[in-house]
Amino acid sequence: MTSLLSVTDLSRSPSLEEVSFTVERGEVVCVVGPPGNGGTTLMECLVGAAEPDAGHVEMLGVTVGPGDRRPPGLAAALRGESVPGRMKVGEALRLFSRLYGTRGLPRRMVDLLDLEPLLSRRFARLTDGQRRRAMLGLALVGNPELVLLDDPAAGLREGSRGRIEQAIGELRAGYGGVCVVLSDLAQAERLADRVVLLRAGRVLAEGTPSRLIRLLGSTYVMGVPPHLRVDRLQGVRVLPCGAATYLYGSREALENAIQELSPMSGDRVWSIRPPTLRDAYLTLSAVPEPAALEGVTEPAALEASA
Amino acid sequence: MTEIALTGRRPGGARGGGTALWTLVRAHLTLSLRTPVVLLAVLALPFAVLLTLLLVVGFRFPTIEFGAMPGVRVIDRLLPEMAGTVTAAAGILVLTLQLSEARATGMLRRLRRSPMRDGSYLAAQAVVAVVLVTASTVLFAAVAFIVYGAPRSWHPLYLAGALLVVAYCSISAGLLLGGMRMPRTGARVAAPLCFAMLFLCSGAGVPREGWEGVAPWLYEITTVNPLAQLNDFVFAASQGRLSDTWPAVAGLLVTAAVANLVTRRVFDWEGTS
Repeated sequence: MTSLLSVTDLSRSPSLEEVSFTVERGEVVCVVGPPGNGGTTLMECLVGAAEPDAGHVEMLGVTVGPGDRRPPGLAAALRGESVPGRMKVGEALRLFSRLYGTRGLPRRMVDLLDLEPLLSRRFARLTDGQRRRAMLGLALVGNPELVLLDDPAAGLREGSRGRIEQAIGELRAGYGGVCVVLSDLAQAERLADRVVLLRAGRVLAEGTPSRLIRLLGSTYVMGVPPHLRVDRLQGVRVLPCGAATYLYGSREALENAIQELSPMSGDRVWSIRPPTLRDAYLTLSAVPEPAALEGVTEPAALEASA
Repeated sequence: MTEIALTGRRPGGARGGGTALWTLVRAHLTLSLRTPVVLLAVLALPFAVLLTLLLVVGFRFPTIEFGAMPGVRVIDRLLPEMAGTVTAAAGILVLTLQLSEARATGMLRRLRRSPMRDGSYLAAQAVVAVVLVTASTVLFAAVAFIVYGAPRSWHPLYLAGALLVVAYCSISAGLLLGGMRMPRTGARVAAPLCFAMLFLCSGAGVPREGWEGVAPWLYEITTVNPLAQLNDFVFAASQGRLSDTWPAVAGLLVTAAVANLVTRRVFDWEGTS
Protein backbone atom coordinates (compact mmCIF):
# COMPACT_ATOMS: atom_id res chain seq x y z
CA MET A 1 0.00 0.00 0.00
CA THR A 2 1.33 3.44 -0.90
CA SER A 3 1.89 5.76 2.04
CA LEU A 4 -0.04 9.02 2.10
CA LEU A 5 3.18 10.72 3.09
CA SER A 6 6.68 9.41 2.72
CA VAL A 7 9.59 11.51 3.94
CA THR A 8 13.09 10.22 3.25
CA ASP A 9 16.32 11.72 4.59
CA LEU A 10 14.93 15.23 4.72
CA SER A 11 17.56 17.73 5.84
CA ARG A 12 17.65 21.46 6.26
CA SER A 13 20.57 23.01 8.03
CA PRO A 14 20.68 23.60 10.94
CA SER A 15 17.24 22.39 12.03
CA LEU A 16 16.69 19.01 10.37
CA GLU A 17 19.00 16.12 9.69
CA GLU A 18 18.03 13.08 7.64
CA VAL A 19 14.49 12.79 8.92
CA SER A 20 12.53 9.84 7.54
CA PHE A 21 9.04 8.57 8.35
CA THR A 22 5.74 7.68 6.71
CA VAL A 23 2.05 8.36 7.29
CA GLU A 24 -0.46 5.72 6.23
CA ARG A 25 -4.21 5.93 5.69
CA GLY A 26 -6.29 6.06 8.85
CA GLU A 27 -3.26 6.90 10.94
CA VAL A 28 -2.26 9.77 13.19
CA VAL A 29 1.50 10.20 13.31
CA CYS A 30 2.81 12.63 15.91
CA VAL A 31 6.23 14.12 15.37
CA VAL A 32 7.17 14.96 18.91
CA GLY A 33 9.85 17.05 20.48
CA PRO A 34 10.21 20.22 22.49
CA PRO A 35 10.07 23.51 20.55
CA GLY A 36 13.26 24.19 18.66
CA ASN A 37 13.87 20.57 17.75
CA GLY A 38 12.92 20.91 14.11
CA GLY A 39 9.19 20.11 14.07
CA THR A 40 8.07 23.43 12.63
CA THR A 41 10.88 23.41 10.05
CA LEU A 42 9.80 19.92 9.02
CA MET A 43 6.24 21.13 8.44
CA GLU A 44 7.47 24.16 6.51
CA CYS A 45 9.54 21.91 4.25
CA LEU A 46 6.55 19.65 3.67
CA VAL A 47 4.16 22.44 2.66
CA GLY A 48 6.78 24.27 0.61
CA ALA A 49 7.33 27.23 2.91
CA ALA A 50 10.96 26.25 3.44
CA GLU A 51 13.40 24.67 1.04
CA PRO A 52 15.14 21.53 2.26
CA ASP A 53 18.84 21.01 1.57
CA ALA A 54 18.34 17.35 0.75
CA GLY A 55 15.81 14.58 0.92
CA HIS A 56 12.76 13.24 -0.84
CA VAL A 57 9.11 13.91 -0.10
CA GLU A 58 6.22 12.05 -1.64
CA MET A 59 2.67 12.95 -0.70
CA LEU A 60 -0.50 11.37 -2.04
CA GLY A 61 1.58 9.52 -4.61
CA VAL A 62 3.25 12.65 -5.96
CA THR A 63 6.88 13.59 -5.49
CA VAL A 64 7.04 17.23 -4.46
CA GLY A 65 10.03 19.53 -4.49
CA PRO A 66 10.51 23.10 -3.38
CA GLY A 67 8.11 25.42 -5.17
CA ASP A 68 6.04 22.54 -6.56
CA ARG A 69 2.32 22.76 -6.20
CA ARG A 70 1.12 20.45 -3.45
CA PRO A 71 -1.63 17.97 -4.36
CA PRO A 72 -5.16 19.23 -3.58
CA GLY A 73 -5.79 16.35 -1.17
CA LEU A 74 -3.25 17.90 1.20
CA ALA A 75 -4.29 20.32 3.90
CA ALA A 76 -2.14 22.03 6.46
CA ALA A 77 -2.44 24.37 9.40
CA LEU A 78 0.90 25.87 10.26
CA ARG A 79 1.46 28.16 13.18
CA GLY A 80 2.62 31.12 11.13
CA GLU A 81 -0.11 30.83 8.52
CA SER A 82 -3.22 32.94 8.57
CA VAL A 83 -5.47 34.78 6.18
CA PRO A 84 -5.77 38.56 5.78
CA GLY A 85 -7.05 39.93 9.07
CA ARG A 86 -9.91 41.79 7.40
CA MET A 87 -11.52 38.57 6.24
CA LYS A 88 -14.33 37.10 8.31
CA VAL A 89 -14.16 33.50 9.41
CA GLY A 90 -17.40 32.63 7.64
CA GLU A 91 -16.21 34.28 4.41
CA ALA A 92 -12.95 32.34 4.46
CA LEU A 93 -14.76 29.06 5.11
CA ARG A 94 -17.23 29.73 2.29
CA LEU A 95 -14.42 30.74 -0.07
CA PHE A 96 -12.50 27.54 0.45
CA SER A 97 -15.66 25.42 0.50
CA ARG A 98 -16.58 26.74 -2.91
CA LEU A 99 -13.08 26.24 -4.24
CA TYR A 100 -13.37 22.62 -3.16
CA GLY A 101 -16.77 22.35 -4.84
CA THR A 102 -18.91 22.35 -1.70
CA ARG A 103 -21.91 24.60 -1.34
CA GLY A 104 -22.46 26.39 1.95
CA LEU A 105 -20.62 25.89 5.18
CA PRO A 106 -19.32 22.49 6.27
CA ARG A 107 -21.73 22.24 9.23
CA ARG A 108 -20.22 19.17 10.85
CA MET A 109 -16.81 20.78 11.06
CA VAL A 110 -18.26 24.13 12.18
CA ASP A 111 -20.08 22.38 15.03
CA LEU A 112 -17.15 20.18 15.96
CA LEU A 113 -14.74 23.11 16.27
CA ASP A 114 -17.41 25.42 17.71
CA LEU A 115 -16.89 27.97 14.96
CA GLU A 116 -20.50 29.20 14.82
CA PRO A 117 -19.91 32.19 17.17
CA LEU A 118 -16.84 33.18 15.14
CA LEU A 119 -18.36 33.14 11.66
CA SER A 120 -19.11 36.85 11.55
CA ARG A 121 -15.86 37.91 13.17
CA ARG A 122 -12.75 39.07 11.35
CA PHE A 123 -9.55 37.10 11.78
CA ALA A 124 -7.77 40.15 13.16
CA ARG A 125 -10.18 40.21 16.09
CA LEU A 126 -9.84 36.59 17.12
CA THR A 127 -7.88 35.38 20.10
CA ASP A 128 -5.00 33.03 19.43
CA GLY A 129 -7.08 30.00 20.34
CA GLN A 130 -10.03 31.09 18.20
CA ARG A 131 -7.75 31.81 15.29
CA ARG A 132 -6.16 28.40 15.50
CA ARG A 133 -9.53 26.69 15.60
CA ALA A 134 -10.62 28.73 12.59
CA MET A 135 -7.43 27.90 10.71
CA LEU A 136 -7.87 24.23 11.48
CA GLY A 137 -11.41 24.53 10.18
CA LEU A 138 -10.08 26.10 6.98
CA ALA A 139 -7.56 23.29 6.62
CA LEU A 140 -10.27 20.68 6.94
CA VAL A 141 -12.61 22.22 4.39
CA GLY A 142 -12.58 20.02 1.33
CA ASN A 143 -12.16 16.81 3.29
CA PRO A 144 -8.42 16.36 2.77
CA GLU A 145 -6.80 12.97 2.58
CA LEU A 146 -3.62 14.10 4.29
CA VAL A 147 -3.47 16.78 6.98
CA LEU A 148 -0.32 18.39 8.35
CA LEU A 149 -0.69 20.25 11.63
CA ASP A 150 1.87 22.20 13.59
CA ASP A 151 1.06 22.05 17.30
CA PRO A 152 -2.57 23.00 16.73
CA ALA A 153 -3.55 22.93 20.40
CA ALA A 154 -0.45 24.44 22.02
CA GLY A 155 -1.39 26.90 24.71
CA LEU A 156 -5.12 26.40 24.25
CA ARG A 157 -7.66 25.77 27.00
CA GLU A 158 -8.91 22.30 27.69
CA GLY A 159 -12.15 22.84 25.75
CA SER A 160 -10.46 24.00 22.56
CA ARG A 161 -7.81 21.35 22.91
CA GLY A 162 -10.45 18.64 23.22
CA ARG A 163 -12.29 19.89 20.12
CA ILE A 164 -9.12 19.85 18.08
CA GLU A 165 -8.26 16.35 19.26
CA GLN A 166 -11.78 15.22 18.39
CA ALA A 167 -11.44 16.68 14.89
CA ILE A 168 -8.17 14.83 14.42
CA GLY A 169 -9.83 11.64 15.62
CA GLU A 170 -12.64 12.08 13.10
CA LEU A 171 -10.14 12.55 10.30
CA ARG A 172 -8.54 9.26 11.23
CA ALA A 173 -11.95 7.61 11.39
CA GLY A 174 -12.63 8.96 7.91
CA TYR A 175 -9.58 7.08 6.68
CA GLY A 176 -7.45 10.18 6.26
CA GLY A 177 -3.85 10.48 7.37
CA VAL A 178 -2.75 13.07 9.90
CA CYS A 179 0.77 14.19 10.69
CA VAL A 180 0.94 16.44 13.76
CA VAL A 181 3.95 18.17 15.20
CA LEU A 182 3.51 18.31 18.96
CA SER A 183 5.54 19.48 21.92
CA ASP A 184 3.14 17.97 24.44
CA LEU A 185 4.13 14.35 24.85
CA ALA A 186 1.06 13.54 26.95
CA GLN A 187 -1.13 14.75 24.11
CA ALA A 188 0.92 12.73 21.65
CA GLU A 189 0.42 9.64 23.78
CA ARG A 190 -3.36 10.19 23.68
CA LEU A 191 -3.57 10.98 19.98
CA ALA A 192 -0.92 9.06 18.13
CA ASP A 193 -1.04 5.73 16.41
CA ARG A 194 2.64 6.20 15.82
CA VAL A 195 5.16 8.62 17.24
CA VAL A 196 8.33 10.01 15.72
CA LEU A 197 10.53 11.35 18.49
CA LEU A 198 12.59 14.28 17.27
CA ARG A 199 15.66 15.50 19.08
CA ALA A 200 17.86 18.32 17.74
CA GLY A 201 16.46 17.76 14.26
CA ARG A 202 17.14 14.02 14.18
CA VAL A 203 14.76 11.12 14.60
CA LEU A 204 15.46 9.63 18.00
CA ALA A 205 13.03 6.74 17.74
CA GLU A 206 9.83 5.82 15.96
CA GLY A 207 6.99 3.49 16.88
CA THR A 208 3.69 3.22 18.67
CA PRO A 209 3.58 5.03 22.03
CA SER A 210 3.28 1.74 23.89
CA ARG A 211 6.26 0.28 22.07
CA LEU A 212 8.40 3.31 22.83
CA ILE A 213 7.37 3.18 26.48
CA ARG A 214 8.16 -0.54 26.59
CA LEU A 215 11.71 0.35 25.58
CA LEU A 216 12.16 1.45 29.19
CA GLY A 217 11.54 -2.13 30.36
CA SER A 218 10.40 -2.51 33.96
CA THR A 219 11.43 1.02 34.87
CA TYR A 220 9.23 3.12 37.15
CA VAL A 221 9.31 6.88 37.59
CA MET A 222 9.13 9.29 40.48
CA GLY A 223 9.27 13.06 40.39
CA VAL A 224 10.90 14.98 43.23
CA PRO A 225 11.51 18.69 43.79
CA PRO A 226 14.73 19.87 42.16
CA HIS A 227 16.32 21.12 45.40
CA LEU A 228 16.61 17.64 46.94
CA ARG A 229 20.02 16.01 46.82
CA VAL A 230 19.61 12.83 44.84
CA ASP A 231 23.18 12.18 43.72
CA ARG A 232 23.80 9.51 46.37
CA LEU A 233 20.76 7.39 45.61
CA GLN A 234 21.55 3.83 44.59
CA GLY A 235 20.07 2.08 41.53
CA VAL A 236 18.18 5.07 40.14
CA ARG A 237 18.82 7.20 37.15
CA VAL A 238 18.44 10.94 37.70
CA LEU A 239 17.14 13.34 35.08
CA PRO A 240 16.79 16.96 36.18
CA CYS A 241 14.11 18.67 34.10
CA GLY A 242 12.82 22.15 34.77
CA ALA A 243 10.57 22.25 37.83
CA ALA A 244 11.24 18.65 38.87
CA THR A 245 13.92 16.01 39.02
CA TYR A 246 12.89 12.60 37.72
CA LEU A 247 14.15 9.40 39.17
CA TYR A 248 14.01 6.25 37.02
CA GLY A 249 14.55 2.76 38.33
CA SER A 250 12.92 -0.40 39.55
CA ARG A 251 10.04 -0.09 42.01
CA GLU A 252 12.30 -1.40 44.74
CA ALA A 253 15.05 1.14 44.01
CA LEU A 254 12.52 3.98 44.06
CA GLU A 255 11.01 2.77 47.34
CA ASN A 256 14.53 2.80 48.79
CA ALA A 257 14.98 6.30 47.43
CA ILE A 258 11.81 7.42 49.21
CA GLN A 259 13.24 6.12 52.45
CA GLU A 260 16.45 8.06 51.94
CA LEU A 261 14.70 11.26 50.86
CA SER A 262 12.12 11.25 53.65
CA PRO A 263 14.34 13.00 56.24
CA MET A 264 14.95 15.83 53.77
CA SER A 265 11.38 16.22 52.63
CA GLY A 266 9.38 16.04 55.83
CA ASP A 267 5.92 14.55 55.51
CA ARG A 268 5.78 14.46 51.71
CA VAL A 269 4.27 11.39 50.10
CA TRP A 270 5.93 10.38 46.87
CA SER A 271 4.08 8.68 44.05
CA ILE A 272 5.74 6.01 41.98
CA ARG A 273 4.13 5.56 38.60
CA PRO A 274 4.65 3.61 35.39
CA PRO A 275 6.60 5.46 32.67
CA THR A 276 4.93 7.62 30.05
CA LEU A 277 5.92 8.61 26.54
CA ARG A 278 7.57 11.64 28.02
CA ASP A 279 9.78 9.44 30.16
CA ALA A 280 10.66 7.43 27.09
CA TYR A 281 11.62 10.64 25.35
CA LEU A 282 13.73 11.87 28.25
CA THR A 283 15.44 8.53 28.64
CA LEU A 284 16.07 8.04 24.96
CA SER A 285 17.37 11.51 24.47
CA ALA A 286 19.73 10.69 27.37
CA VAL A 287 21.08 14.18 27.60
CA PRO A 288 19.14 16.08 30.22
CA GLU A 289 19.38 19.66 29.05
CA PRO A 290 16.84 21.64 31.04
CA ALA A 291 16.89 24.50 28.55
CA ALA A 292 15.95 22.19 25.72
CA LEU A 293 13.18 20.58 27.72
CA GLU A 294 11.42 23.72 28.86
CA GLY A 295 8.75 23.34 26.25
CA VAL A 296 7.76 19.85 27.33
CA THR A 297 4.42 20.00 29.06
CA GLU A 298 4.39 18.38 32.46
CA PRO A 299 1.92 15.52 32.73
CA ALA A 300 -0.04 16.05 35.94
CA ALA A 301 0.81 12.58 37.18
CA LEU A 302 4.47 13.48 37.27
CA GLU A 303 4.02 15.94 40.04
CA ALA A 304 4.92 14.69 43.46
CA SER A 305 1.81 14.92 45.59
CA ALA A 306 2.03 16.31 49.06
CA MET B 1 -11.49 5.22 -1.31
CA THR B 2 -11.55 8.20 0.99
CA GLU B 3 -14.56 8.56 3.19
CA ILE B 4 -16.07 11.95 3.81
CA ALA B 5 -16.02 12.72 7.48
CA LEU B 6 -16.15 16.40 8.29
CA THR B 7 -17.16 18.03 5.05
CA GLY B 8 -18.60 17.03 1.75
CA ARG B 9 -16.64 17.49 -1.44
CA ARG B 10 -17.49 17.14 -5.04
CA PRO B 11 -14.73 15.28 -6.85
CA GLY B 12 -12.30 17.70 -8.46
CA GLY B 13 -13.64 20.82 -6.79
CA ALA B 14 -13.89 24.13 -8.59
CA ARG B 15 -10.58 23.88 -10.40
CA GLY B 16 -11.03 26.78 -12.68
CA GLY B 17 -13.66 28.24 -14.91
CA GLY B 18 -16.49 30.48 -13.84
CA THR B 19 -17.21 29.12 -10.38
CA ALA B 20 -13.70 29.51 -8.98
CA LEU B 21 -13.21 32.87 -10.71
CA TRP B 22 -16.50 34.29 -9.43
CA THR B 23 -15.84 32.97 -5.94
CA LEU B 24 -12.40 34.54 -5.85
CA VAL B 25 -13.60 37.84 -7.36
CA ARG B 26 -16.31 38.13 -4.74
CA ALA B 27 -13.96 37.34 -1.87
CA HIS B 28 -11.25 39.72 -3.04
CA LEU B 29 -13.65 42.51 -3.88
CA THR B 30 -15.05 42.30 -0.35
CA LEU B 31 -11.54 42.31 1.08
CA SER B 32 -10.49 45.25 -1.10
CA LEU B 33 -13.42 47.33 0.06
CA ARG B 34 -12.27 46.77 3.64
CA THR B 35 -8.70 47.77 2.90
CA PRO B 36 -7.96 51.41 3.73
CA VAL B 37 -5.05 51.70 1.27
CA VAL B 38 -7.29 50.48 -1.56
CA LEU B 39 -10.02 52.96 -0.78
CA LEU B 40 -7.41 55.68 -0.42
CA ALA B 41 -5.64 54.94 -3.71
CA VAL B 42 -8.65 54.13 -5.83
CA LEU B 43 -11.26 56.41 -4.41
CA ALA B 44 -10.39 58.89 -1.70
CA LEU B 45 -7.13 60.40 -2.92
CA PRO B 46 -7.94 60.79 -6.62
CA PHE B 47 -11.42 61.92 -5.77
CA ALA B 48 -10.12 64.46 -3.29
CA VAL B 49 -7.72 65.77 -5.92
CA LEU B 50 -10.50 65.86 -8.48
CA LEU B 51 -12.72 67.79 -6.13
CA THR B 52 -9.91 70.20 -5.31
CA LEU B 53 -9.16 70.72 -8.96
CA LEU B 54 -12.84 71.06 -9.70
CA LEU B 55 -13.23 73.66 -7.03
CA VAL B 56 -10.01 75.59 -7.57
CA VAL B 57 -9.31 75.20 -11.27
CA GLY B 58 -12.68 74.24 -12.58
CA PHE B 59 -14.64 77.04 -11.02
CA ARG B 60 -12.00 79.64 -11.73
CA PHE B 61 -11.45 78.61 -15.32
CA PRO B 62 -14.49 76.56 -16.25
CA THR B 63 -14.48 77.53 -19.85
CA ILE B 64 -10.78 77.92 -20.58
CA GLU B 65 -9.83 75.81 -23.52
CA PHE B 66 -6.93 73.51 -23.06
CA GLY B 67 -3.73 74.45 -24.84
CA ALA B 68 -3.77 73.74 -28.52
CA MET B 69 -7.01 71.79 -28.42
CA PRO B 70 -9.93 74.00 -29.29
CA GLY B 71 -13.12 73.08 -27.54
CA VAL B 72 -11.47 71.14 -24.74
CA ARG B 73 -11.93 72.63 -21.30
CA VAL B 74 -9.49 72.14 -18.44
CA ILE B 75 -12.15 70.14 -16.73
CA ASP B 76 -12.46 67.84 -19.74
CA ARG B 77 -8.89 66.80 -19.24
CA LEU B 78 -9.32 65.98 -15.56
CA LEU B 79 -11.66 63.02 -16.01
CA PRO B 80 -9.41 60.90 -18.26
CA GLU B 81 -6.43 61.84 -16.13
CA MET B 82 -8.13 60.75 -12.96
CA ALA B 83 -9.38 57.59 -14.59
CA GLY B 84 -5.86 56.84 -15.77
CA THR B 85 -4.50 57.52 -12.29
CA VAL B 86 -6.97 55.21 -10.65
CA THR B 87 -6.38 52.50 -13.23
CA ALA B 88 -2.64 52.60 -12.76
CA ALA B 89 -2.96 52.82 -8.97
CA ALA B 90 -5.30 49.83 -8.88
CA GLY B 91 -2.81 47.81 -10.87
CA ILE B 92 0.52 48.86 -9.42
CA LEU B 93 -0.20 49.98 -5.88
CA VAL B 94 -3.16 47.86 -4.85
CA LEU B 95 -2.15 44.61 -6.52
CA THR B 96 1.40 44.76 -5.22
CA LEU B 97 0.28 45.32 -1.64
CA GLN B 98 -2.52 42.76 -1.78
CA LEU B 99 -0.29 40.05 -3.20
CA SER B 100 2.56 40.65 -0.78
CA GLU B 101 0.11 40.54 2.11
CA ALA B 102 -1.50 37.35 0.83
CA ARG B 103 1.94 35.75 0.58
CA ALA B 104 3.08 36.97 4.00
CA THR B 105 0.00 35.53 5.72
CA GLY B 106 0.30 32.21 3.89
CA MET B 107 -3.00 32.83 2.05
CA LEU B 108 -1.38 32.28 -1.36
CA ARG B 109 0.07 28.96 -0.24
CA ARG B 110 -3.25 27.92 1.23
CA LEU B 111 -5.13 28.87 -1.94
CA ARG B 112 -2.65 26.98 -4.03
CA ARG B 113 -3.28 23.83 -2.04
CA SER B 114 -6.93 24.06 -3.10
CA PRO B 115 -8.07 22.78 -6.51
CA MET B 116 -8.07 26.38 -7.81
CA ARG B 117 -6.03 27.02 -10.95
CA ASP B 118 -3.23 29.55 -10.61
CA GLY B 119 -4.66 31.55 -13.49
CA SER B 120 -8.04 31.89 -11.80
CA TYR B 121 -6.50 33.69 -8.86
CA LEU B 122 -4.54 36.09 -11.05
CA ALA B 123 -7.55 36.68 -13.29
CA ALA B 124 -9.68 37.40 -10.22
CA GLN B 125 -7.19 40.03 -9.10
CA ALA B 126 -7.37 41.64 -12.52
CA VAL B 127 -11.18 41.57 -12.55
CA VAL B 128 -11.33 43.17 -9.10
CA ALA B 129 -8.97 45.92 -10.27
CA VAL B 130 -11.16 46.56 -13.33
CA VAL B 131 -14.33 46.63 -11.21
CA LEU B 132 -12.78 49.15 -8.81
CA VAL B 133 -11.57 51.31 -11.68
CA THR B 134 -14.96 51.21 -13.40
CA ALA B 135 -16.81 52.18 -10.23
CA SER B 136 -14.38 54.97 -9.50
CA THR B 137 -14.42 56.36 -13.05
CA VAL B 138 -18.20 56.32 -13.24
CA LEU B 139 -18.30 58.22 -9.98
CA PHE B 140 -15.83 60.85 -11.27
CA ALA B 141 -17.74 61.20 -14.50
CA ALA B 142 -21.04 61.60 -12.66
CA VAL B 143 -19.66 64.36 -10.44
CA ALA B 144 -17.91 66.17 -13.31
CA PHE B 145 -20.93 65.97 -15.62
CA ILE B 146 -23.39 67.02 -12.93
CA VAL B 147 -21.30 70.10 -12.09
CA TYR B 148 -20.15 71.13 -15.60
CA GLY B 149 -22.16 69.10 -18.04
CA ALA B 150 -20.75 66.66 -20.57
CA PRO B 151 -17.71 67.73 -22.59
CA ARG B 152 -18.30 69.00 -26.09
CA SER B 153 -16.04 66.33 -27.43
CA TRP B 154 -16.54 63.01 -25.67
CA HIS B 155 -15.86 59.42 -26.77
CA PRO B 156 -16.59 57.11 -23.85
CA LEU B 157 -15.98 53.89 -25.78
CA TYR B 158 -12.54 55.07 -26.90
CA LEU B 159 -11.82 56.14 -23.34
CA ALA B 160 -12.90 52.74 -22.02
CA GLY B 161 -10.66 51.03 -24.57
CA ALA B 162 -7.69 53.19 -23.61
CA LEU B 163 -8.32 52.55 -19.94
CA LEU B 164 -8.29 48.83 -20.64
CA VAL B 165 -4.86 49.24 -22.22
CA VAL B 166 -3.64 51.15 -19.13
CA ALA B 167 -5.25 48.54 -16.90
CA TYR B 168 -3.50 45.73 -18.73
CA CYS B 169 -0.11 47.44 -18.45
CA SER B 170 -0.50 48.40 -14.81
CA ILE B 171 -1.99 45.07 -13.74
CA SER B 172 0.88 43.31 -15.47
CA ALA B 173 3.32 45.52 -13.55
CA GLY B 174 1.42 44.91 -10.30
CA LEU B 175 1.38 41.14 -10.77
CA LEU B 176 5.10 41.16 -11.48
CA LEU B 177 5.95 43.37 -8.49
CA GLY B 178 3.57 41.56 -6.19
CA GLY B 179 4.58 38.18 -7.55
CA MET B 180 8.21 38.63 -6.66
CA ARG B 181 9.41 37.62 -3.25
CA MET B 182 9.38 41.09 -1.83
CA PRO B 183 8.98 41.57 1.91
CA ARG B 184 5.70 43.16 2.88
CA THR B 185 7.56 46.17 4.24
CA GLY B 186 9.36 46.47 0.89
CA ALA B 187 6.05 46.44 -0.92
CA ARG B 188 4.72 49.04 1.49
CA VAL B 189 7.53 51.37 0.50
CA ALA B 190 7.82 50.50 -3.19
CA ALA B 191 4.14 50.67 -4.05
CA PRO B 192 3.50 54.18 -2.65
CA LEU B 193 6.70 55.35 -4.34
CA CYS B 194 5.36 54.08 -7.64
CA PHE B 195 2.12 55.81 -6.87
CA ALA B 196 3.86 59.11 -6.15
CA MET B 197 5.82 58.81 -9.40
CA LEU B 198 2.61 58.10 -11.18
CA PHE B 199 0.68 60.84 -9.54
CA LEU B 200 3.22 63.62 -9.86
CA CYS B 201 5.35 62.68 -12.82
CA SER B 202 3.08 61.18 -15.41
CA GLY B 203 0.57 63.92 -15.82
CA ALA B 204 -2.10 61.66 -14.43
CA GLY B 205 -2.66 63.37 -11.11
CA VAL B 206 -1.33 66.78 -12.06
CA PRO B 207 -1.30 67.84 -15.73
CA ARG B 208 2.26 67.65 -17.08
CA GLU B 209 2.06 71.04 -18.68
CA GLY B 210 1.46 72.50 -15.24
CA TRP B 211 5.02 71.66 -14.20
CA GLU B 212 6.63 73.30 -17.23
CA GLY B 213 6.70 76.75 -15.68
CA VAL B 214 6.74 75.79 -12.01
CA ALA B 215 9.36 73.01 -11.93
CA PRO B 216 11.01 72.41 -15.31
CA TRP B 217 13.11 69.51 -13.95
CA LEU B 218 9.92 67.69 -12.94
CA TYR B 219 8.51 68.34 -16.39
CA GLU B 220 11.63 66.72 -17.88
CA ILE B 221 10.97 63.65 -15.74
CA THR B 222 7.41 63.46 -16.98
CA THR B 223 8.58 63.32 -20.59
CA VAL B 224 10.44 60.05 -20.01
CA ASN B 225 7.94 58.48 -17.64
CA PRO B 226 6.20 55.58 -19.44
CA LEU B 227 3.07 56.27 -17.47
CA ALA B 228 2.99 59.74 -19.04
CA GLN B 229 2.74 58.08 -22.45
CA LEU B 230 -0.22 56.09 -21.23
CA ASN B 231 -1.76 59.19 -19.78
CA ASP B 232 -1.51 61.10 -23.07
CA PHE B 233 -2.92 58.06 -24.78
CA VAL B 234 -5.98 58.01 -22.49
CA PHE B 235 -6.59 61.70 -22.89
CA ALA B 236 -6.34 61.55 -26.65
CA ALA B 237 -8.67 58.54 -26.69
CA SER B 238 -11.25 60.46 -24.68
CA GLN B 239 -11.15 63.01 -27.48
CA GLY B 240 -11.68 60.31 -30.06
CA ARG B 241 -8.24 60.32 -31.61
CA LEU B 242 -5.08 58.29 -31.52
CA SER B 243 -2.34 59.89 -29.48
CA ASP B 244 1.07 60.65 -30.93
CA THR B 245 2.36 58.45 -28.16
CA TRP B 246 0.85 55.30 -29.67
CA PRO B 247 4.25 53.81 -30.61
CA ALA B 248 5.36 54.20 -26.99
CA VAL B 249 2.09 52.67 -25.83
CA ALA B 250 2.56 49.77 -28.22
CA GLY B 251 6.01 49.31 -26.70
CA LEU B 252 4.46 49.31 -23.24
CA LEU B 253 1.94 46.68 -24.33
CA VAL B 254 4.75 44.47 -25.57
CA THR B 255 6.64 45.09 -22.30
CA ALA B 256 3.51 44.14 -20.36
CA ALA B 257 3.19 40.93 -22.35
CA VAL B 258 6.83 40.12 -21.58
CA ALA B 259 6.16 40.96 -17.92
CA ASN B 260 3.32 38.40 -17.99
CA LEU B 261 5.72 35.73 -19.18
CA VAL B 262 8.27 36.69 -16.53
CA THR B 263 5.54 36.71 -13.88
CA ARG B 264 4.55 33.20 -14.88
CA ARG B 265 8.09 32.06 -14.14
CA VAL B 266 8.94 34.07 -11.04
CA PHE B 267 5.58 34.33 -9.24
CA ASP B 268 6.26 33.15 -5.72
CA TRP B 269 3.20 31.39 -4.35
CA GLU B 270 4.88 29.72 -1.45
CA GLY B 271 6.99 32.49 0.07
CA THR B 272 9.66 29.80 0.40
CA SER B 273 12.52 30.67 2.72
